[in-house]
Amino acid sequence: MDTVLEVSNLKTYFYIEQGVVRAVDGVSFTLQAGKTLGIVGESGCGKSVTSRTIMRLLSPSLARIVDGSIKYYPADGPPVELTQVDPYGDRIRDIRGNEIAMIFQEPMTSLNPVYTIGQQIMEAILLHQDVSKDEARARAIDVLRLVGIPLPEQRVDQYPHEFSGGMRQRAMIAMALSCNPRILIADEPTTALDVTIEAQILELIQQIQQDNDMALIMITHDLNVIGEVADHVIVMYLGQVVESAPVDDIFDQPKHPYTQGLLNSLPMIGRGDRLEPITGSVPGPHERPRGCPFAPRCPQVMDRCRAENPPSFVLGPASDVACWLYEEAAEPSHDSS
Amino acid sequence: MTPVEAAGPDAILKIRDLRLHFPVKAGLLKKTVGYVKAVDGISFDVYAGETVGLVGESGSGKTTIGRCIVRLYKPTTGSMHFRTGAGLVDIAQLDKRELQPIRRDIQMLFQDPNSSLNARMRVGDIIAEPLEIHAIGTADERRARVEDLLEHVGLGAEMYNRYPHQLSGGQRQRVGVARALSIEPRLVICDEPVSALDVSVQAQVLNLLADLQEELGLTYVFIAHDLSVVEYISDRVMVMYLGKLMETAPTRKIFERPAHPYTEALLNSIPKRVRGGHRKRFVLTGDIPSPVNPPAGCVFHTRCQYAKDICKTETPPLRTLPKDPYTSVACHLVDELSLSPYYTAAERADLEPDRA
Ligand SMILES: Nc1ncnc2c1ncn2[C@@H]1O[C@H](COP(=O)(O)OP(=O)(O)OP(=O)(O)O)[C@@H](O)[C@H]1O
Ligand SMILES: Nc1ncnc2c1ncn2[C@@H]1O[C@H](COP(=O)(O)OP(=O)(O)OP(=O)(O)O)[C@@H](O)[C@H]1O
Ligand code: SF4
Ligand SMILES: [Mg+2]
Ligand SMILES: [Mg+2]
Repeated sequence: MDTVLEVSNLKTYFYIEQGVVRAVDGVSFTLQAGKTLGIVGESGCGKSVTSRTIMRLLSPSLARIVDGSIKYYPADGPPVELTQVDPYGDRIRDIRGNEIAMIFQEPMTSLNPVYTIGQQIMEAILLHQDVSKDEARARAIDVLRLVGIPLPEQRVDQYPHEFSGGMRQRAMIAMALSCNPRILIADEPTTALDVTIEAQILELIQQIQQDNDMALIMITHDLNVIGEVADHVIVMYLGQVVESAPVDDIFDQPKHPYTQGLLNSLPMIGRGDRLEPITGSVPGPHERPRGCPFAPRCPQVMDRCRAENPPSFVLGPASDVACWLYEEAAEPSHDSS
Repeated sequence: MTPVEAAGPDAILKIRDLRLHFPVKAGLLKKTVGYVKAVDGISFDVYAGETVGLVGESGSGKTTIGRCIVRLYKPTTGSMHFRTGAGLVDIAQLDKRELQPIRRDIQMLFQDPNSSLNARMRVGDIIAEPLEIHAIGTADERRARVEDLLEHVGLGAEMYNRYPHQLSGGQRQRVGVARALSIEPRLVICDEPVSALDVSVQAQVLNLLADLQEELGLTYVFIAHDLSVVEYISDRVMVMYLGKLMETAPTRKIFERPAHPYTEALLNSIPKRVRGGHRKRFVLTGDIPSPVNPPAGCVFHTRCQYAKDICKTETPPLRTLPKDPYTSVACHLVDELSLSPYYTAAERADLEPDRA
């Protein structure tokens, strides 16, 4: 299998008046061509900051990558260390939107209201591909058709406000796909949408993924979506990956108490048992607990958890868990960095 | 349509042919150029002590129904009989003064815990406000009642003097619950009460609502777009599309034997895990049509894979199934269609073993 992206021990901190926000605080994963990595976790756990760091969209004056690496493996040529590239330079501009594309949480904030949908898609195409304006327009119409926009020849000249919520989201996908990216990062692409539209969008993304052998990072707080689309899942809590495992293991034999708690909190159709919610709520960014970030809410907390943050223990070829309960069971770590 | 009298004796709310059409205004003179048929001829009963879930796509009219029931809106036409000590009273056309005693019995819980609470008021005062409006108890009694409510919803009396911004989202929603329950309503309209919450907190609030219902004998109309939440909390489900009811049935029945093509489409759109690989999704094409110009005939026919000619011209009435008196369906083809449930038998067998 071809690895296209390798993130290790990534840390992105915000330095603001009230102090340091450790938004991403040790994230590692490997992404393979044609496969889907799911990133799941409650609000504020660092999902969006992780994806924005990979795309180098965060201004260095606001957010600092304090540790870790992001290795991108292009189709040809040597690997690129994305943490080292100039966030305003040519290299990242070549990659961003072209080789690695992103769909954002709120389509309205990422579509420009004063340009037509077509102008915005054409801009992306003209930036990355050596084609004429007419060819770019034809390609824009093609991708709009591909994402199921009716009458794309007419719709291409409409403005974002003339599209429904589902159509805007599809237009965003059209824009992201216009350059056939090798990696698509979808940040809550369906959260604001009705289930019927959500199903259309997920079907569309997976169709294109199959046709192009595209790698997909699906970010969501919805475990049902993760269960449906992901091959491998990382569960985040307060900026850290607490568990990483193949999707069936996450659902059938969750290891981390937080993953178990999430699943017990989730209404599942046909199950019927009373929900067993995790107690309390996620602490604010400035109330990060000492030791294991989940310790204050963990039903199995031990003294050690309150003092020391557990490292990631290796439980199998593709399974890691950051919890002291698994110290004994662990294999020697993948690498000892 | 069922006459009011034919409904069961313990129905606390009987809605018949409810319509709410919002005028669409245009031009300098703000002339009415059309109507948004937000709720367009809906009839259903709500029974004492039950939770009835109301589902349907964005814009289908769920919130509008809720706002009619609490009389934030005055329906365009139709009746809403509410059971009071003095028998059934049609609250659809009552004026402000006549409504006053009934408002105590029907409360609404809103979606967004951030915007539904007055940011400048203390938590205790927010919860006490309905008690003051209805002039219930002395100041001391009200304070004691609020402290009791705070304990009940799991917040603790020490939260009395906090402001909303000092609380988490889940805590704010608990304040909303305490406020809605302060005057001991009998019927609570919950409009997406957990949609803005993280799953762990969502589960806490769902359990709280279920416990309070049992303890206080509350009746809920529960509006939500998340079908797994609705399945968890509801005894019965009503499925809406473009201002009309498509199907109502007991919850299990809806998920295991849907009878309306739109219900089938909704169920099959819910993301679900199928072990060891991806499933082929059943996808409903197109967008929901405009409620200003709803399609003729069956409002769902433009997206229905089974539609026949009759569906394009004649509106199917909501009919109770002869073989199943608890299920009502508005579809011409109800007798000939065999629709897919949420889980196929094979999927259920595959997932069931480890549901220990
Ligand atoms: N510009 C910023 N300045 C300061 N802190 C920020 C900034 N952007 C994000 N954060 C903080 O970083 C943390 C992670 O935020 P992030 O947006 O990645 O969360 P998320 O997992 O995507 O949540 P959601 O599910 O709500 O989208 C949060 O505590 C957030 O408040
Ligand atoms: N005050 C209003 N004036 C005019 N039109 C309105 C008003 N309130 C709602 N509508 C329209 O009525 C229709 C039904 O809206 P409603 O809010 O009841 O839908 P809903 O089912 O609650 O949707 P959602 O799931 O998005 O909350 C929509 O087309 C909406 O735009
Ligand atoms: S009445 Fe016709 S169009 Fe409407 S749901 Fe039934 S089959 Fe489909
Ligand atoms: Mg986010
Ligand atoms: Mg609504």
